Amino acid sequence: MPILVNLDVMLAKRKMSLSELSEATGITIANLSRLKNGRSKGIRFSSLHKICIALECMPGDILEQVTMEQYVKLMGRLPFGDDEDDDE
Amino acid sequence: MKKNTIADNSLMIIALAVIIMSLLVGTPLGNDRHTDYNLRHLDERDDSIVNQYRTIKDSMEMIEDCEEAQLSNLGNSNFIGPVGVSKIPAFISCGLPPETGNQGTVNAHYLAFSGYSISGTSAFFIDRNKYMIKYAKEDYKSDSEQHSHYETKEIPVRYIKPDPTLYSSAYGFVLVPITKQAYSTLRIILIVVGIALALLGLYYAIIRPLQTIVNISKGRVFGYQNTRNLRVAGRLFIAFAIIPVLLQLIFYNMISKQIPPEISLAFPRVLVENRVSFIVAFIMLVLAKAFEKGHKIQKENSSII
Repeated sequence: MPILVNLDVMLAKRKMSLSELSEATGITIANLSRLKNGRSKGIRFSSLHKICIALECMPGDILEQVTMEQYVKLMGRLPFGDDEDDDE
Repeated sequence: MKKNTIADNSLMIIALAVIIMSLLVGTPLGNDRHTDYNLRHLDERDDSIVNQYRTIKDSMEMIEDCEEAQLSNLGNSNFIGPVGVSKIPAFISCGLPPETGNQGTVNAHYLAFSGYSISGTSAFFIDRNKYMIKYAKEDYKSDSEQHSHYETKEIPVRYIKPDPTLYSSAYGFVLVPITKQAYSTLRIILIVVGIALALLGLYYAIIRPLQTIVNISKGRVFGYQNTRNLRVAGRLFIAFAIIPVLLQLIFYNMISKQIPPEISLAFPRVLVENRVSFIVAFIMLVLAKAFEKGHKIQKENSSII
């Protein structure tokens, strides 16, 4: 069961841009962008805590567990790490 | 990834098996022959019976040494692993006048194969340019003892004894006579292939691992390049250790009909002789595995925000 990152939804709800979130959390725009587009393998508790503080939300508002079919339907591809060769 | 893992694991098991086998078999013993050099400095003015005996013994030992030296002389040779070509001056029967069959400066040309040994009850010698072997033929065997007699026969190949003064030659060579033209052609091929293999070995087994050390010193430890360099070097070391042995087995099968049963391929001792290559290969493959894991962890870590 993949985890869907609803960062774009929360940013839209809070009317906040990615650069503003970056400034508030200290996480680089590149990393936030990777997180938003589902291009990261995981998130540290410290990063999640910073994002939740900045967006005034709970971790469950950002992370959502979906079925593989739903994930593929929403993202148009398999979760990051499942569709690549680990070796090279 | 799976293919690489299976291949590397198999190679590591082979290398480890050879290392363990080399520990069990032990190192080959040198064939050292005692010579009483004191006899070479006799007082020639002394004509006592004892001194005459010593003089005869001394001159016979000199003849024996002269012939022994020729029997272990590989001449001008070029080798790649177990196969090569050799040009040796024709055998001189020491102590005999030239008209009895000695040919002086004439060279004989051979295709040479290394890694052979002769049985303890046999001896190779050359008699009037013919290759001869003296061997013990069993007459009967009782519970406690075995009775044999010596027989001599001509063989089509020449045997070169291991030279005890050289560290690298623990085993003898079998030489198959070839024409001068074939010798010249094969020699050129061997030199060209030898240079190509030396360059390949230099690049993959020395330059690339050195590149890895430079990368590590610059802080780029678990990179893909380092993993690949170590893996390739490990595989190359195993190849350099195994391929000569496989070639030895192939050539042995090719010339086995010409070789008498008293001369045999010293297998698996020849495999054990390459144990250093197997140890280096094993270490490199283990390091490559560790680097591969490190590279994977680093990659995973860098994708966690």
